[in-house]
Amino acid sequence: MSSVILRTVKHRLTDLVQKPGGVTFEAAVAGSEAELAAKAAPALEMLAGKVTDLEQLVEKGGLDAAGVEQAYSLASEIVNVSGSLNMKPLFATAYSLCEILDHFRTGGFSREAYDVHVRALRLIVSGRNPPNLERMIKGLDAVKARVLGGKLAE
Amino acid sequence: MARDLSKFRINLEKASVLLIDENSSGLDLLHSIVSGFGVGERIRASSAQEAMDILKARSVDLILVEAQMAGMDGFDFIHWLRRSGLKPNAYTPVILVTGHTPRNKVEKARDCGANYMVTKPLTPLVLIERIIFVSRDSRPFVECDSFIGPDRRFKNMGPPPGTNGRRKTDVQEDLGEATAPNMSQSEIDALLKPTKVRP
Repeated sequence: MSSVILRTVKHRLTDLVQKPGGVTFEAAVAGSEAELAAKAAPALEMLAGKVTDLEQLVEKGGLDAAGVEQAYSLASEIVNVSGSLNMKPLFATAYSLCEILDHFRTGGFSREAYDVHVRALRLIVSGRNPPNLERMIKGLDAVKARVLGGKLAE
Repeated sequence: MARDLSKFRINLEKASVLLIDENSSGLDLLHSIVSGFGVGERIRASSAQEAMDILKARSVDLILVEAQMAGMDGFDFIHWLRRSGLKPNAYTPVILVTGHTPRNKVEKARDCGANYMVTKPLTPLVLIERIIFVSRDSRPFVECDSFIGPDRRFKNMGPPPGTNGRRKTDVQEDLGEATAPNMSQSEIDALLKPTKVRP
């Protein structure tokens, strides 16, 4: 049997955060939110470009294995940026797209499921948030469940 | 219920934080979040390789790393760091930030040796709570063939603020008011009084 070593570690960070001065928890959060607010508009513009890339990927037909990887990478980027900016509808839609693309790596590709997700992303990044946004995301969840259950594949 | 941290003070003026994300927008956003917290030194690395070079040359107090990167990902980076033998960096607190984790990487995420994994959507509130949590992290480092990193069991210190923990037995940080009167001194003395045991 291999040996296990338990080591007690003292981090410098532990001492630093407790030093007098600094900011209150509330001020730290407010400062950070203010920094992020300034980044939201340019980030949204960049994300719109990623959605265009996702649309262009399937212009010539379905996605092969390399295409799925490329699409996953784009969707993952949307998840990461929208997630850091707490853009929840965009995050939820891109996350759902990541889930189905991850499934496409081993299961069958579904153009319908892909397209409906990308169209939803387009709708959200264009700022034309539909009044029934919540219902739309629930619908995407249902599509995702069908894909993951193997009920929607070409 | 999580403890009220609103009046808690945090001093990160002297802290150096390494931020790693190969996506420039993601790195920029992470940088903005920690700037707002008043972090004194923010070091950017746009790849795991760049971060490795930085860590070989100097020490940092906290590392925030994005899990999904096309080259060496965040999981492999932490795996490398914990086995690097670099002191004190090998033991530096690491918060892994992740968006979508593919199914085939869930196990890797669990075993990489991060102090904490934060899933997106990420808000400043969540991140600062986790930074406070890792700064107080007193879990021992476990070193064995299959794992190097902080003990993955939170049982003794309770789950981080804002989370309920996964086990029924997890100690919650907010214990609330006592529901019964304290014991009197004579009751305590009676409990401690040595008594002879007759065979």
